[in-house]
Amino acid sequence: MTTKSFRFSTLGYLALEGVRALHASYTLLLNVTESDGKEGKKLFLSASMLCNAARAYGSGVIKPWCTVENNIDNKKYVLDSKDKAFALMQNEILIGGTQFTLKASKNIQPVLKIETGYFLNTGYTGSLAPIPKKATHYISLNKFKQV
Amino acid sequence: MKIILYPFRVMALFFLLCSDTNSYPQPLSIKNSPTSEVADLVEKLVMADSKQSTEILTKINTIRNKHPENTDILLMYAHSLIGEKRYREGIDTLKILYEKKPMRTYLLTQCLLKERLGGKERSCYDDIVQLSEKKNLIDSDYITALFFTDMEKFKTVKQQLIKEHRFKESDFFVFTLGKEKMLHEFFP
Repeated sequence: MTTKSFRFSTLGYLALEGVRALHASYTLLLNVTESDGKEGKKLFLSASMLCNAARAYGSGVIKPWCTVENNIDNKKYVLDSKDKAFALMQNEILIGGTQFTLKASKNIQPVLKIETGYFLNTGYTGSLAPIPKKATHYISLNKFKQV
Repeated sequence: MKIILYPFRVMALFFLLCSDTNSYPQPLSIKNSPTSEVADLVEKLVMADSKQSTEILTKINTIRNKHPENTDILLMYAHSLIGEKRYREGIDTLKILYEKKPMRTYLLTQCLLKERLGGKERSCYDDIVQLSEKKNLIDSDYITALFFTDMEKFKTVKQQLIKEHRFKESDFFVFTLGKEKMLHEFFP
């Protein structure tokens, strides 16, 4: 079983007073745990986000999101925090986690496509997503051990 | 004795209810308002594919047309168009927004988008610099406009803001990309 931690920073722009080009950027903190078994590769992903936009704007709530898609069965999973517990640092905003198993496939390098972003819900004035609206990252996993 | 205690019971119940309300402040409801309807659509748009995005933008535009004076909806619509890389429509919507609510941020976003599309927008940025200096607003709109027009002044103001602890050095990292790369990062 191996766990890898990733940190992806993305520049963002929000046409809001106090935020704009300087404070709309965000960082995805992602942990990927993989373990090979008889059925294939078990994966557990958990994520949180660092983002200063709500503080810079002066109000509102940051709602971060993250999805993961794989190149084995092409299924897409949305990370969430339902019925799970997570430990966070002070500035982190929880996204959540997901787990699934990839069927062992010979000669295929398993790759995860991670998409992430957030929207700032300002309450009375509505919601805004930064521009660009999402960031895409690719993670190569270890090759399947048992086929 | 029971009769004497009765008013106290009522008072205790009253304070209990009050304290409960204070500890769980309920957000005033904007549910079912056109703004919240558009906000819901914006939230769906972030994970939508291109076909869904077009449908969502059409829905937002329909609500916008019904409420042409609502600047919050107009901003959400402009932002969504830019997020979907429909930059020219984004600029047109920002122009309408700026006429209704003249905020420098909306003007700056127009300048950045026009420059991203290949135009030279010096006069556009100059307007922001002049407006900022006139109102003595030394903020990120002003700094960004200076970055695109007057590099010497940009450096001086940057140092001054860091010295006054109004901004951190790290707040300026985005400018190290240079003009063109910065525009392409924000508006790919």
